[in-house]
Amino acid sequence: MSIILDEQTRAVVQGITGKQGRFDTENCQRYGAKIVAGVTPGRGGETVLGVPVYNTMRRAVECETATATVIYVPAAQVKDAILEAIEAGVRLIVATSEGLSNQTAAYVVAAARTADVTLVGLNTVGIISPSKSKLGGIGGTDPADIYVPGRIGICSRSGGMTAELALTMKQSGYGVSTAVAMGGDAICGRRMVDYVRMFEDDQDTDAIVVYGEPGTQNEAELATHVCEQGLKKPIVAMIAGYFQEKHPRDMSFGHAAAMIRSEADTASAKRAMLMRCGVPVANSLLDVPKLLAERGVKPTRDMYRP
Amino acid sequence: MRATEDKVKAWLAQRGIATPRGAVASSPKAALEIAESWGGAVVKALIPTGRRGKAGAIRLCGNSAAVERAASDILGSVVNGYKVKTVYVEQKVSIAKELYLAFYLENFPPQMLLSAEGGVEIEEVHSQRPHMVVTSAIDPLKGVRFWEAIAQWERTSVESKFLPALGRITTQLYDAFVAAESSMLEVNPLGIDSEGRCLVVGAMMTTEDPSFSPESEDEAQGEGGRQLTSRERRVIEANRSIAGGMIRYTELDGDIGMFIGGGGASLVQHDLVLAAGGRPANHMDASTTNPDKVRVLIETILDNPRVKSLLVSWHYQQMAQIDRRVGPIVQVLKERNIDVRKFPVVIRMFGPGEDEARRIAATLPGVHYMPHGAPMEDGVRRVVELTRRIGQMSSAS
Repeated sequence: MSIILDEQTRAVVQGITGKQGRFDTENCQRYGAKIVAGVTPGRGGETVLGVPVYNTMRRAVECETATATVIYVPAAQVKDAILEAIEAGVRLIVATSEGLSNQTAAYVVAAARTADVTLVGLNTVGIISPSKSKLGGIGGTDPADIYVPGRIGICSRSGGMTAELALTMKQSGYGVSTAVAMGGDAICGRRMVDYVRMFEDDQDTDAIVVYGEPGTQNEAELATHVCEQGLKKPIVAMIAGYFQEKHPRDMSFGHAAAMIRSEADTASAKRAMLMRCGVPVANSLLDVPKLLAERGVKPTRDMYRP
Repeated sequence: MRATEDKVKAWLAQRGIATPRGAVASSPKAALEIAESWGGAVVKALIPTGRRGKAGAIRLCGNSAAVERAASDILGSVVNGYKVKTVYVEQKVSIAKELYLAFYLENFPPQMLLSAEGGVEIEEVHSQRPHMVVTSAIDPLKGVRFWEAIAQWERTSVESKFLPALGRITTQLYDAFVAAESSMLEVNPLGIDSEGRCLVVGAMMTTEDPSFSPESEDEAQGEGGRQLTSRERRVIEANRSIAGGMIRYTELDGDIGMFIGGGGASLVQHDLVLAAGGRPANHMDASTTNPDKVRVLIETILDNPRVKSLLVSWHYQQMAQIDRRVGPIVQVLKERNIDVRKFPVVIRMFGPGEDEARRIAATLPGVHYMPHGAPMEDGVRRVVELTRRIGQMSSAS
């Protein structure tokens, strides 16, 4: 298994005829993802990269029995694309678009949560279940150089750090069951704690690694979950952005989600909160495998060697 | 971005929400002219921050002579870190009751905060009498409906006769909040006049809408009012004029030039530099592969007189061509005849185009290009160590 995505997942690409959509789709296909349709209004009936293009999501989902979609449409069309996908009945939406306003994000996140659809993003590089499937640009042209199969679940608020964590796992003999870049914006479809719970229930995940930053309630919600209900599996967290606390408040260091709003939102506060609940927090990438090993999590290098 | 009060009120007025009459003045004489026919007026420093009242930057004036005096006191002063260049002169309105209303969207879901105690600092009300602040979650799919707004105001113990007007203005304000792509709209006080009409007396709003931006370069000040350096201004200008993503560039007082990117990877590497005992000359979050923009950024970093070394490091790139970044960087280093044995340059760039990037970097002997797959920590440690050695060498000579 793995979470959310595996080799059976049949996915549509909304905006398959655009440059980015096409580029990522080719890489996904090469990796083994089942891309079963594309949707671009006005281009129905064409074939792109060997898959049929439809004018609407409803037709694509009906004709190709798809359950997932990846979205590559211009920012102004993202809201409609997500709402259309929800109405067409998919269970998974990977929304790569960045730069959406908080207001638009709040609207589509509300729509997805109301329909109980897993919206990965906004502003995500995607999701990968190594050697099974990937949706989005995650892993790029050579995913195997970063992501090797294994039993660690990764959930990261940064797309780039998803890659760095997976690379660290690979180099220390671990591998990845599923890695999900949950989205770099303050408002995301699913919360960090939602992904952690999915990993808790996944038979093929032994341990969980999360990456967090200043801003948002994600880490606090995770800490509360661990404190109140405990965790079925070992977890290691990495938090970044301590340097911001050395500078005057309100000084801006980018990453919309990393704006410090209150004391409880700082990297140090999050670290303290998680540690209080028994979640070890890594000081650097290289600490992550050490902390996993300390908790008895075994490397899987030999298990997955081809 | 926080919009200034004049723009927020003009925006709300345009949408049919009542606000007091007011205008912007940049001299005491202009302030006097605005208020001449009104009798009394309120003079406020026009800066994008809250807590102006506490800072003495809001003055109630009983006559036009007082208006002129207040404007002359406030103009040119520094309030909460901001230099005051203009004041907002507003007609005094007679208010029977002062309330508080705010919408926040920092996390999901959006929140509405209401209180029957307005005109004072809401944090104080909340800390002393928490029950006086009524908080409710908003479903973005529904918005704030008239009857829902009334139900929430009812919880604040405001008199029933005011509820219809409050319900109406609350729905109007929420619609304005959404339409402005705002993350925070605070109305304090929300006034009710003797006739029972509601009006926005004090307003603060953040927005992503560029039409709320300061008109001139001169009006733009750094966060918290900090004066931007010429180099920081150059990056802001490049964001406007060159395609390829928003770049954040903030100067600090260290000596390691940081050409870093990837939101998360920027944060992690900055932390790592500090942990290794190094001091960044800047923070940066760059995502661009546009060679023109890369060129501006590398020139900006190198123009900073404090910079003694350079770290070029992103997370492992999954899509972007890294040779499009390394190319212009190496070119600028060459154009400036920078001796990389005295000015250490450490590159940790992996991903598409890596072979080409390594070939380009090799044309500048002495550049430290980290081996493929080397941990982020290694690149950081290398640049910190090399910078330290340079420092020792120069202090020895």
